[in-house]
This record gives sequence, structure tokens and C-alpha cells, in this order.
Amino acid sequence: MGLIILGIFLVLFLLGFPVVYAILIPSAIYVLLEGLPLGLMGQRVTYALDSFPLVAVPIFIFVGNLMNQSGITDRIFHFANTLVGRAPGGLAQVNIFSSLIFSGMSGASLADVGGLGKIEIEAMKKRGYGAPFSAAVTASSAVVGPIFPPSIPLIVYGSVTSVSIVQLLLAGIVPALICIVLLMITAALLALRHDMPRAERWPTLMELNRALIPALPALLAPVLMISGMLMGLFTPTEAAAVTAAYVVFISAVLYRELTWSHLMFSLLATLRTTSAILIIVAAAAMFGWILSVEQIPQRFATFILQISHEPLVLLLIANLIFLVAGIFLDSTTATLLIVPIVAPPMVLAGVDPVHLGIVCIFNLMIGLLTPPMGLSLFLVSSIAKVSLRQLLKALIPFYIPLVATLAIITFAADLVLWLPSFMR
Amino acid sequence: MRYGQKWLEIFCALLLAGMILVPFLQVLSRDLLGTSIPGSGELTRFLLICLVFSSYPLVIASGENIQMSELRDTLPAIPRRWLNRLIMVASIIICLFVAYSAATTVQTNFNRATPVLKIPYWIFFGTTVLGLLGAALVHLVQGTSTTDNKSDSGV
Repeated sequence: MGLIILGIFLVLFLLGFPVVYAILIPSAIYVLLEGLPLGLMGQRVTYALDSFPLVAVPIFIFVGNLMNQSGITDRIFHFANTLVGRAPGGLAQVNIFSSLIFSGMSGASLADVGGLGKIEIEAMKKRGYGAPFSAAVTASSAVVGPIFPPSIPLIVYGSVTSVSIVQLLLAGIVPALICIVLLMITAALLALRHDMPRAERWPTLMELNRALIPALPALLAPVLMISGMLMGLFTPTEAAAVTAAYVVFISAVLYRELTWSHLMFSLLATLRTTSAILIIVAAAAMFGWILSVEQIPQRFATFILQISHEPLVLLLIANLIFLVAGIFLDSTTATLLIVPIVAPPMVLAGVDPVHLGIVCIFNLMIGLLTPPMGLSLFLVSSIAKVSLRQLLKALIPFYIPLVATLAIITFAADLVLWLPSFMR
Repeated sequence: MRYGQKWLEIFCALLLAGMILVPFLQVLSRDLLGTSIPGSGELTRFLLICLVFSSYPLVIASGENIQMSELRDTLPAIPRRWLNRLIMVASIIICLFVAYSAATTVQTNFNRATPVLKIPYWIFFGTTVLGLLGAALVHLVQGTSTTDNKSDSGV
């Protein structure tokens, strides 16, 4: 019965049913066929959201929206432009570096693409970079957002697996920095090869200072959040609330660019994104319950452990599963439906759950750059006004640093677990 | 419909603002004054449940439901039209089913309340019921008002 339920989900999903209904319809069929109490669905779906860590999700989405509305994004871009605009690749480097700073406050890759991405692509096109290349740099650098704290996918992963969210967030820092460095090297090599434009000279100290001062309050936000969590001053959800209050404060008092309409627009945009994501979390709780009643995770564990008990082999299998899942499912759905099945045997065989979390989310984020469910691809191609085909072609060199980062994350567990080890 | 949507947006925006404010005040109160706000975690979780279900009709109205429509969009016009109708009808039925399911939970938990703040369970199960009923209504309105050849009407 469990496999039939899974099959119905896949058929409905591929037919284009909204994900939440593709999950709820087979769940309802199961409840009716098995003669379970009807109230079970309403109860499971509602209780799934009775989770304090999940509260961080809407708050970080709000922070991203507010940053895009209140001019913080422009300041980050200007500072990054001054700092690395002269490096080979000029604005491509600025694009990648800005994404890192932005992701340190927002945690959502689509907010990065939709807000900062617009500014970056327009600036790059104006400076003479090809639209497909500009779009490819923007899309590939947005992958970093969901692994650098704060990360909405890592929060969802932590809430599904009961792994420490603080440790997951800290574990994402080193892989994100590695990924940024590799992307910057790739952009530099491509720029040198194709003689792309860059700033005429390096900035003077005075110019750097002039760009840094307006951006400094924004740059301090991730520092405040990460140090607060490291020192145990607040939980990830509280860190989200503190960051939101801080962003409201700097945009209203320091930058004086926050208006009521900006605030209202950010709140309304947040409402819709939040509900679209978390309604799936609610539905997946019912589905996950059915899968566990049908012993699907146990059957999968028996199957996978027959292949190998070696953690590294299992991690490679996990990579394959999550990479394929990321290609066909959006990251939230994949995290909610596949992680509860795949994670238990891996952890049983000795894979660190925090390490597995980073491997899983990074794979799913690569999936954002692959059709058919590449949400980043669609958004970037519409912003840059390039076809999906052109974008995919321009993206090919950028898959190399992403896959290289994935390999480093997979094989160098100590690197990933270095920062979380301070909390253990 | 538009008037109702405006009020719903304001209501949900207030819930979201409250959800940001409560944990922030809790941090200030705990780290600066040394006292905790009793039940702040409970209130925040309650606000999240209310927010997600109350704002779900807004998600459908703006066509932001997450879905993979690529395969559907490649279908010829007639099968696509029928598939869209099927999705709309199935969406309405499943929303009503889960709303009914939550309503039966309201009945069985009518006298229960949260441990600290004593918020009655029927309030947040009530938002699940109302949110999904609203979602079914928006699907119905969209289904009857959109022309058939629009493939992504937000169903």
C-alpha cells in the first residue's frame, strides 16, 4: 500500500498538481481505504506546524524581502563592486561576493536571485557582459545562500530530522566559503579567457572606506546572528527575529529608506511565500506518517544496508539520491519526503547527521539549477531575458565548481564538522 | 472578493508582525532584564499555525502554489484543458476533505487548551478549517472565471 501511495504522489506531481495536493490526495485515499479516523488528517496537518524552529522560516523570508525593498541590497552591491570590481571578471566577482553577503542575512536563494540578482544582471549587461553569462553567474552564486547561515532549507531539514539547527547552520559556513572561492576562480578564468571588462584600477583606501561605511550596518547583521547563536544568546528562531528587528532598525533609522509601503509590501510578499512553503510541510507530515506506518523507511534501510555499511559508500549513494531528487522535486518537498526515508540508515551506519544535512541540502540546491524543477533557472532567465537553453549553456562551466564543492563536502567531513565541533 | 482579500491580507500581516515581535521581545526580556515572557514560544507557534492556514487562500489567489507544470504545458490544448479542470475539481475536493477532517478535530478537542496560555484548541484548528474552506472557494472562483486555455491559473 505504501508504494501505491508513493506512486500516486509521483503521478499527480508529474501531471502538474500543486505539490500540496499531490501529497494530500494519496494521504486522503489511504485514510479512507484503511478506515482510519477522519479527524487524523486535520490533526496531523495542523500539528505539523506546531514547531518553534519553523517560525524562523517566515522571518528570514521577511528579512530578504525587506532588504530588497529598503536599499540594503544596493549598498551591499556598491561595497562589493568597490572591493572586488578590479579582479578578473569584475562584476562577475562582485555578483558572487554580494550573494555571500546577502545570504548572510536572508537564507533564501530565490530572494537573492529576485532582489540582488536583478541589480547584478542589469549592471553586468550595462558594462558589456553577455546576458547569458550574467544570468549564469547570478544563478550559480545563489546556490550558496541556502547553505550559509541563515538557511531556510537547513532549518526545514533540522525540523524534520531533529538534528541541532544551530550545528547545521554552523556546518554550512565552511562549504559556502569554499563554494564562493571556487566560483570566483571559475569566473576569473572565464573572464581572462574571453577578455571581459573590469574596473580600471583597484580602489584607494579612501574609496573603500566610503563604500564600506554605508554597507557596514548591513555587513554586521550576519556577525550579530552567528555570534549570538555561538555564544548561546539565542536560538535560530530568536536569531531570525533579532535580525529582522535589526534590519528594520537600520533601514528606518540609519538609511532612512524604509516606508510604510515598503514594510507592507515585504510583509505581504512574505505571507504568500511562507504559506506556499509551509503548507507543504504540513501536508508532508501526514504523508510521512503514512510512510512510517507502512514501514517504507525501514524497508529502505534494510535495502540500503545490504549494499554497504561503509559511511563513505552510503554518502555517495545519498549524493546520487538527493541529486536526482533535486532535479525532479523542489527542495522543500524533497527534504520533507526523502530525508525521513534516506537519513535513518545512513545515521545508523555512522554518517554524521549534520554532515548528511549539508550534503543533502547542497545537492538539492544544485537541483535548483537543473530543469525541470530549476526554480532559480526560471527566475534568472526571466530577469535576464535569456532563453533557458542559452542560460543552461552558459551555466556549464559553473557546474564544475559546484560539483567540486560537493565532492569536498562529501569526502572532507572534518571540514564540514569543524565549526559545529565547538558546540559539541 | 477583493475587499475580503484586503482584510485577510491585513489580518495575516498583523499575525506575521506579531510572530516576529514575540521572539524578539523574549530575547530582550531574557538577555537584558533577566526575565522570560511566559508562554512566548507557545504564542509564536500558535501564530505560525494561524498564519500559514489563514494566508493559504492568498497563495492560491496569486497563483503561487508550488507545482511542476512543465509536463502539463507541453500537452495539446484539449487534454490540457481537461487536466486543468481535473486539477481544479480535485483541489476543491481535497481542500474540503481536509477542512472537514479538521472540523471533526475541533469537535473532539473543543474543551482542550494550550498548557501555558490556555489558548483554546478550536482557535487554531478553526483557522485550518477556515483557511482550507477559503482555499476551496478561491479555486472555485478561479475555475469558473478563468478562460479554459489558461494553463496556470493557480489551481
